[in-house]
Amino acid sequence: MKKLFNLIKTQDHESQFAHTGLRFFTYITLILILPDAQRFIEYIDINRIPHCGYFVSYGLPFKLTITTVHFFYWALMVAAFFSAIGFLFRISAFVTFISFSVLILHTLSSCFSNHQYYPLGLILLFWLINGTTGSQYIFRFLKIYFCLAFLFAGMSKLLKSGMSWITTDSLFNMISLQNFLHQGFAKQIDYYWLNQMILNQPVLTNILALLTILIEIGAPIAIAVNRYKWICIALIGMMQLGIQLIMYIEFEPWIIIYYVWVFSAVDFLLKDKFETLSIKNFFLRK
Amino acid sequence: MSTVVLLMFVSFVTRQRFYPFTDFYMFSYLRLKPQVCTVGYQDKNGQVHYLKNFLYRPLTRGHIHQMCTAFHFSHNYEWIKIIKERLPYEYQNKKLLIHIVEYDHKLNALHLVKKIYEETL
Repeated sequence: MKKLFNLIKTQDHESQFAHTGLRFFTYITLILILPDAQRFIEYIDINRIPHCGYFVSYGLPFKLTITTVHFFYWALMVAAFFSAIGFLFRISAFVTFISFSVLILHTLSSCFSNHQYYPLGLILLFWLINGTTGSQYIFRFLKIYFCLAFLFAGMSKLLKSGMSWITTDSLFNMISLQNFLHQGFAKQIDYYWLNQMILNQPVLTNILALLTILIEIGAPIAIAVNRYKWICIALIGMMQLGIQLIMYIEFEPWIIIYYVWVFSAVDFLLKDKFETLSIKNFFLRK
Repeated sequence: MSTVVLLMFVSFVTRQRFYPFTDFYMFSYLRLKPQVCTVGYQDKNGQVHYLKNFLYRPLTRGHIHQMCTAFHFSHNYEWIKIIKERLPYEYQNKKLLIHIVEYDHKLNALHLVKKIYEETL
């Protein structure tokens, strides 16, 4: 375990430049990918459903009103912007995390799982705990989290269904049904031919199911084996893109969890050139 | 130490996410055909039409299927009122039906599998 931890440590350089860049892009992307306040307001009525325990095991212990939705939404926007530029970071990161959690739990209470926003809450928590400049752990945390998120996705499939996930028509049925569930959505119209191509060759769905399990279970390779790191990350990225194209499931917000690899690589490439590269030096150097 | 605590937290959150689901969408099609629980209405000729997405925004057919499955065992159909309130005026006097239907991707058509509930006007 210690050896693994040290290996991850040696992969990290985390200069101030990379740290600031990662923080800026994380919070700015958060602002851009969030739906508008009206979307959260629309969920107020649906929250009247007495319980949604079968699908969502957690929710807000209180109900939001239009005013409180606006309050949390704009608190999130302002705090996320302050966090992006590093202004009063501890306070603004705290407000971002709390307001984001409240809004997402508010929508989760409506019997609908917002899978596309799941990873973001924990990333905001990581930034809150260890996101101040000079911290040595945020890159490591985010990399470990990236791998665990996919590892648990693969493990849950195996634990819940075993090899049936691969051998049965489960994936075929889901890919087929997505056409009905997403009928009328722009994405479904755009990528319909790809979905049909897969459905016309049912054996392809079994192969895709097997590949999904292999890629998800193999996610820890990204932190454990430096040599195959980029192959592993590329495969995971392609898998998510494939899910979006074939099943029309949105994964745009997940781009935030890939940023850590990008900034880590940029930092690694620049390390030899600018040993003490910082934002201040970057702009002031002659 | 803080890493271990956070890893435990991730594990806890992930567990919360996956295990309480008794019939989670992702795993229900291991044994089912491509079937979905959806809401429709009957026109004057007795023909059944299934409601389109976006008619009851922000709910979608995915929502309907999840709620239908969640409340099916308890025979609690209170949730259909929420759907009805969100529908345009012309749907208010129509009899809503909850059906389990099977999707045929080759024909892009639905086959009725089971009638779950019919609203009384």
